[in-house]
Amino acid sequence: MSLHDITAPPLRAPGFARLPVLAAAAFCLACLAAAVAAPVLAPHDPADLVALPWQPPGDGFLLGTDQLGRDMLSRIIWGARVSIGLSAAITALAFAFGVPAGLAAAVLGGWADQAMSRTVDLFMALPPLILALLALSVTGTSLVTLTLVAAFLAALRVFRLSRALGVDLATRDFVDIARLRGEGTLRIAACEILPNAAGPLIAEAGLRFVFAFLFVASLSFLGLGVQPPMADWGGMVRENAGALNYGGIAPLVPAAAIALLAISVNLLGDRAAGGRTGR
Amino acid sequence: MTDQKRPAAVPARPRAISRRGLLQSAAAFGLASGAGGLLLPGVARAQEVPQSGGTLRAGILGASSNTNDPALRQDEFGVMAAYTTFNHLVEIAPDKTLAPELAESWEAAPGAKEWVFNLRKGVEFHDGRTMTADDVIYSINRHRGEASQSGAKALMAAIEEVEKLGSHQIRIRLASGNADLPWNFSGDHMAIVPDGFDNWMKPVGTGGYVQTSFEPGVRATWERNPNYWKEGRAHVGEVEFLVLNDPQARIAALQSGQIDALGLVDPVAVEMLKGSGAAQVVNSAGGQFWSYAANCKLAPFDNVNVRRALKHGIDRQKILDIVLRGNGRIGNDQPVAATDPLFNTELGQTPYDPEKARYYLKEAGLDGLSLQLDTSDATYAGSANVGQLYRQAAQEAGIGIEVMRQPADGYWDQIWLNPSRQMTSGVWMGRPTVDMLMSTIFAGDAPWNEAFWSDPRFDGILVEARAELDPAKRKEMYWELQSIIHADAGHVIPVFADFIDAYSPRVRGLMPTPSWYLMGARFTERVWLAS
Amino acid sequence: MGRLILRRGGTGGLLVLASTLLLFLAGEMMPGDFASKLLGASATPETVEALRLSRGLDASPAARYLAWLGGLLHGDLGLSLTNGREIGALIASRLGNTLLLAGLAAAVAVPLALALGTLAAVFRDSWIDRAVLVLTMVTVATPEFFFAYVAIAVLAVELNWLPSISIPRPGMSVWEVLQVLVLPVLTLVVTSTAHVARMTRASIVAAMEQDYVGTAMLKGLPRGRIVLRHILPNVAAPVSAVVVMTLADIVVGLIIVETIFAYPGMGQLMVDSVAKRDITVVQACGLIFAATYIFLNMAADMLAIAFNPRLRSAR
Repeated sequence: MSLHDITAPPLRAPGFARLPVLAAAAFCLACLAAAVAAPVLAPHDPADLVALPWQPPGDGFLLGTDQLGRDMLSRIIWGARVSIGLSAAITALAFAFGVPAGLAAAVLGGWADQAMSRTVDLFMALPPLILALLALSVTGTSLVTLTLVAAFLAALRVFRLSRALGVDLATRDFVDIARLRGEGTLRIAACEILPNAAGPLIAEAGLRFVFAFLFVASLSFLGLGVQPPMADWGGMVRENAGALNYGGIAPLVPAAAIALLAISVNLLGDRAAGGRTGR
Repeated sequence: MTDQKRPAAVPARPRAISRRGLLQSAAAFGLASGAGGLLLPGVARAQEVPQSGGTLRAGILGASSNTNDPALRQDEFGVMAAYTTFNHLVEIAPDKTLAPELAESWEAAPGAKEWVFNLRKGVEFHDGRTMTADDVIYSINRHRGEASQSGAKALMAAIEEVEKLGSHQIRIRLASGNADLPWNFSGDHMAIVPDGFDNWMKPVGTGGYVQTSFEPGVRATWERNPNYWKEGRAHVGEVEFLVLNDPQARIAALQSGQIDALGLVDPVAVEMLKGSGAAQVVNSAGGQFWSYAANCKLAPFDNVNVRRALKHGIDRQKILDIVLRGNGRIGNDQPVAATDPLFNTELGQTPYDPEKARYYLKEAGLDGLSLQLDTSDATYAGSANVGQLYRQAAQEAGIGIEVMRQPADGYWDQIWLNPSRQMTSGVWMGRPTVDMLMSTIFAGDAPWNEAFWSDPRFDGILVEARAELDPAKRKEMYWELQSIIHADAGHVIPVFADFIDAYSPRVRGLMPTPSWYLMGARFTERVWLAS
Repeated sequence: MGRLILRRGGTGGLLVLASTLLLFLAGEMMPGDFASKLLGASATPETVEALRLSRGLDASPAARYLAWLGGLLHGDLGLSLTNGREIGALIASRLGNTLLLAGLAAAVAVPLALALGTLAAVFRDSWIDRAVLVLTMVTVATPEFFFAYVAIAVLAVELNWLPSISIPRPGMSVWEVLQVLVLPVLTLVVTSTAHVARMTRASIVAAMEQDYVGTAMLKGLPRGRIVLRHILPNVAAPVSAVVVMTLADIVVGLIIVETIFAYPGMGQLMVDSVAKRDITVVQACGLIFAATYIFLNMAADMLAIAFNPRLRSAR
């Protein structure tokens, strides 16, 4: 995969395209605000039973109640904290380890590259859900193990991309010139390659953030997600999925929150990536 | 995550049926499902004549590791398959008594240490062989001895010798008296198989259906046994089990008419299913209860006042209303169901009383209490949510409960019965007899003493009651045992949950059966299909 | 090129070997064991021990690992711990089912994704592009299990058009089998297409910005011809990578989709076996997944190298 594959092109036609980007930014900010100020914003304690289960929206509960009769709005607001916090931590960890390792492998080449790449290949040779299932079965589920396992799996993919970007860039002329100038490997990686790889990496960060979200949701499906009464949005979809069979809308609320945030982050990531590469 | 029930289910002792308990059980054979029950088309009515034929499809919980071997059976699949393929020595009849099945009659010598069983003659296995005492002895001995891998090993451990007295008569000698011995042979582990049989991919039994295909974790099919010895049973032409584990998919399969029978129905689905007209819901009140076991070996739970505080800090009615949606009864921290004839009716109900809980904490010299409660979907779906309700109620009483949701796999062997845990949640399906129930969970040396509780006086009465044949004395002793558990043991038992089953509109012959899901796991033999 | 293939093949073989070790270690480290799982709450220490002995678990881990490897070399996957069946026989039909499901899903998803991506790229910034963008973003952001539940609630329960259980029965006609597979295939297609469509669009857009395309445009060649003759050949490498990634996406989705639709495939078998601690089955399934994935990756790598010779020297 080459460096262009991941990035969507920038949205052209400024007048029309700006609106979605602005909306996306607004939604992201709102989610962030909810995550930060959850204790102030939430009308109820997210773990308290305040009404009958699966009440429709309205009547004092803006988004209705969940399968136990807890206020859905409050749970969405607190869920933002869990979901966003978890995904952000996973993404940050994945990049903190994946990018330096990937670029180092690309620049160093030789046996170091081989060793790192083949190790990554080994762990990527299993479907991530299965690997997570195995790992979490071994370690037990907690917020920490969940984050570490998901971050590890994401880091593998970040490594792959960074290395691919690095290899591609390393064959470019400006790197050869830097080499001729006698610059050290580290310096080449940091000053020549990293800035040129920044665009795709930022877009990738957006994607990874969204995938982390969905990944945690999938783990919730397999019963390995966040511990109640805390709930991430994916877990809330799962908890309330039963309502679908009875014509209820409870699971649609967290599902919509996930979709909106994912789309917004994607849009912003693409925008930022487009901006960086100057396209 | 699919293992919603605990696998060790032996049908509970069934006597009365109404879910509202003793008040209504006097009204004889009432329907357990409450209001809508009598209106169901499928519920057995005297004037209807069962029809033969048709294919009965059931959604069953299972896994690729399932086997037909009754000794190693697992999941709902193993239980349901056992009663479809095999017969047992005795049967828990629909009228809640112990009825003869492959044993025609039995008799205990005084002291209940020696039992003689007279076996039914002229019963054929699916392969044409005639059943004799040798088959029965082989079937019992499979569960005994050093090398036994059977789930019924503990249950059969009291047997010292199984002896052949004639071609259709055996004698069983026990280490100590047990007045309830015949009940032990009603459980699904105790299926009767041919002497020396071990080909579990193609099981041979004497039951109403002959297994025609078996793909573990996927499906299994049966055809009616043309030579079935039982009159008026096994009406259906073919039986098909589909392994369905996902809770939403199970309900959807019933709603869209792809299956005819579904056990372990989520209480949340009951109202919707009744309202939709797409299914008949049958509630059976029985011995299934949820438990929270405080570790009596661990401070501060070794103090009985702390245990009493825990018992007063739970809002049982709220759990019944919200989680079970009313499909059950509140519990009173002792394991005998209100539907059992040996239920102690004079025991006062422990109320939700935060003040009283605080008082007991103070008695124990504590200002407050915080503890960790382990729950898991391995026990029952939504157990963590029930834990949340306990947490919320206990908070009022100054008891802080941290509810942990442990992964389903590994819960039974890692967390539950782990002496370092403060409080674990569990679920019990009931047992055929009160003695079995108490010796499995509450005796000091009980194999699954989940609360690590022991009381020499309790143990003494329990052993005495076991060998007692006089009904009045038995009742007195079992009442005493219940009151000891209620007041002293480490168990908080919030609710008894109904067994909830759902059937498609064409299924007939339905009847609430308090011993287990799907008519005490004998639905394939008892229902018929309307054309 | 021949030497390169040999070398990559060798690395692939080593990777498979390493993954056997990884899987074996994971199995060893997993808390709890099959015997207490199997006996559940009716387990007692003696029965557990008896069961473990009967399955040969008293041998040392190293001996068991070597025995397993030896068996693998002869194509023997061993016996299931829980019911003692031949794993080879257990897996055979499951593998076939999974390949059928994944194959059908890929047969729909890959062309669909390529078509959507190409359309969006060719008609960049038009309403088509935007529609594809919104569609792909929504589907990429929907958890598979949620989509599956909605599909069941609407298509199976409400409208009663399709079965919600995907268990193929012996004696079903091809048409019936296809019908049974519609919902799982649909779920897999919807959740795997989006990602690939976006990458296809991005590669084509990048290729269109190359000078020779500009030249072709200036020459006034028709758009369709430019795409077919100039652009598609140049995006072959990224697109082949894309196809492999779709397959990988589908494999991941399989685990959840098979569970929900009760489809008897490898994903369901693996989840089942992890839950029951049937370690030998977990290891066999894991190995098949790993070998498939390693092979797919090798194929993608070699394609990429074949299309971009500069990469050869960089490795």
